[in-house]
Amino acid sequence: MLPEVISLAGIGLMASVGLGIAAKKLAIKEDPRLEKILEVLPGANCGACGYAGCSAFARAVLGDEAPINGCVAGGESTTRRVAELLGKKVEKTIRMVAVVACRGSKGYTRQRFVYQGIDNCRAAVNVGGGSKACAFGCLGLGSCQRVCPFGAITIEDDLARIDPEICVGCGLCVEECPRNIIHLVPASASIHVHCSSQDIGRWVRDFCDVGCIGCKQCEKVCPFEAVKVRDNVAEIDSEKCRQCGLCLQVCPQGTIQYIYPVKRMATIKENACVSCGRCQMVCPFEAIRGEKKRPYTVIEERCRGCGLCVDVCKVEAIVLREVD
Amino acid sequence: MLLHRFPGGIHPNDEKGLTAHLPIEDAPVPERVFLPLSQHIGAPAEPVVKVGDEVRIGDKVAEARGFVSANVHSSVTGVVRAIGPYPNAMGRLSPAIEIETTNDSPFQPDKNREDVLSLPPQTLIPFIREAGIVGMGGATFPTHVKLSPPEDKPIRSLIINGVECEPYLTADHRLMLEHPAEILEGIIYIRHILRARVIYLAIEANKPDAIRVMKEMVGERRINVVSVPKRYPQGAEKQLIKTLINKKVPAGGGLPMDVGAVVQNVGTSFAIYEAIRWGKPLIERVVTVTGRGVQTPKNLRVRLGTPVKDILELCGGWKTTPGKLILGGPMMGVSQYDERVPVTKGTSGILLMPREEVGEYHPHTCVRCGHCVTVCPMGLLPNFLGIFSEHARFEDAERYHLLDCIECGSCTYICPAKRPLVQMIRYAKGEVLRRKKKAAKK
Repeated sequence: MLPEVISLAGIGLMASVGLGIAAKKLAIKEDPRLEKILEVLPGANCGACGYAGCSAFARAVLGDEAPINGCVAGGESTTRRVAELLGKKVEKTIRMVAVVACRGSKGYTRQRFVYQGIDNCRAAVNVGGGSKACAFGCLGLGSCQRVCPFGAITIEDDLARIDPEICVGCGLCVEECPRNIIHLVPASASIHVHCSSQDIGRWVRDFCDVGCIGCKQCEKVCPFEAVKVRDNVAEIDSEKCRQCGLCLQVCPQGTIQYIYPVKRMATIKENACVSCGRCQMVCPFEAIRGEKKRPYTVIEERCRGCGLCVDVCKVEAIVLREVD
Repeated sequence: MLLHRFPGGIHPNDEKGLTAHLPIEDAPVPERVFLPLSQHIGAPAEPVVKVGDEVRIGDKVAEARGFVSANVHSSVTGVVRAIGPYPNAMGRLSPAIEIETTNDSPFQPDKNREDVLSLPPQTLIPFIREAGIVGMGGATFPTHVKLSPPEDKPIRSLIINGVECEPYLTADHRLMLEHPAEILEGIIYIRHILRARVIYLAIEANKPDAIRVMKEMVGERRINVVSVPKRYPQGAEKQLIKTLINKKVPAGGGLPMDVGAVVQNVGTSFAIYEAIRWGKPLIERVVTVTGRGVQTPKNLRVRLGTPVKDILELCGGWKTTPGKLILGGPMMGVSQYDERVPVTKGTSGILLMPREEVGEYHPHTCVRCGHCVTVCPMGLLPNFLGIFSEHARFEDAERYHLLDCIECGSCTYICPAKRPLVQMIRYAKGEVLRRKKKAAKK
């Protein structure tokens, strides 16, 4: 009994000493910050930063090869925390989201033929250009859904829909889409043209109920010259667009849509207003009224929250607030 | 002679009885023709006419751009009405020249070269190039490129392909029966160009009449008319080379010229004869209109650019509920949804399948039976290629010689799980090439 115990204990002792020495001598020195950065990163390994996963990105950030705001998926909060860990300052990043420029789901867009084959958009376009009558429309076979690491994309009625709340703007779907109809847009912009068809209006009407027919009504109605019809399809310049939603109301096809409804309204602080009248002059919707020496007021039914008045007000008496 | 066996292959019903006995008829000149600028492999041709121009039959309307490209000629006498997008056989819009016919006179040759064989071989290639001739079997590779092998690759064997292994099609068969002298003359011209030592004319065993006619026509000349066994895809270039001269075209982008062979279709030989002897460009071809869905099956000589719709009207249209309209044969042809598509240089057949012949398939997972492996004529593993494609493992697919697939469709034909293997492979090929291009850009 005793010899066995002693010999086993001896082996155990020798092994533990060996391991202890090995752990000290053969240890790989790693920056302690690496693990901390990894904890901060989302860990989805989406690859949107251009590196093979989160740990590769973390190493690159430590080695000053990657920009601190390189993690698209994590967004602003991650960037801020990474910057804190490294003791660096970072500029504000604009959050981007992906938008599918097509509304042609099963009920809206005609089918040319019955497609029987593999569920993959890239393979389907090789079969007669896809079964949807529109050569620019979403094929709805879910290639984008499968590459999305965040589950932001769903396919309903043969159409990809992206949830802007979940989307982090990594752009993987943009690259995967064989039709090139998914675009990255600033998350602050909510109004988009949900069509990519460069066909002339007559053709679009033939095969789709919700496609842009290039009628230019949106272009005419836009007070900010943000909408332009180019190649038979309307385009909204998200820098000029102020989300007033006029184009959305005149569009006969319902092609222009909010991706998430934002309703904003201007309010004038009574005690700050100096009754200069600038806001009234600039308002494209005639939503401000007032008279001299008294605070101006906003007509709520007319205001569309474009914020032009906020920009011109010299005394900062106007604010935009979100309403339900 | 001793024949060798290529691996794999399948035995579909050949269905050639529908049209094999019908002589070639001349289709009436259509009211309008639509000539796509890209009827061949390679760069699309560049239009040399404007809207409103009057063109005579045989006039060049679009010029080849680059070496691997082919001219397009007007197949009617008329006026150019439009140059713009038109549906093509691939289901997309591609630029085409629309010509309205004003005069249905046939092509009048202005040349008669009787001394062809006394001309130096190199001087014949420009005639072929000028006539816009491409491989008429369906691959549409520009013929002048195939006939200009580099100096370091001498051509020993010339193989003329009269196999026509696609089920239903009988265009080449009828051509051999009705124009054997012209085909033979064409073969002699090609031999002259390539200085080939051995010539084979391969015909599938299910066309004994064509074999007899061609044998009689060849007579004592040193051309081997070979009856090859009936097995799909016997008429594929690499399989035919293996059968006749027992050589394997190297994998990974090898060409028949690497083993000293050139394969030309009998239809191409006929076109070469017409181009060199009479100066006639490629403006018409024989098309088999067949299938159980068509009222009267026919073998027709059709002007290029004729819309399929006109041809269907000529054949009495659909007899049954339409199922599938296929340009080409049932194995490698392309289904159409638009009857406006024009007949092009590579259209060997128009196949109408009734609704009840067209099955709806719901693919299962691979059952690992290995049937596709036994039938693959290239000795590939279609089961793995399909699985790799499904799981986006394109590097693995490439290691399994994805790019050597000839897309003959044997694996899809045989698969008991009804897996669309060719589509998967084609998709994977596209992805591999796209990734390569992307990597090259970086």
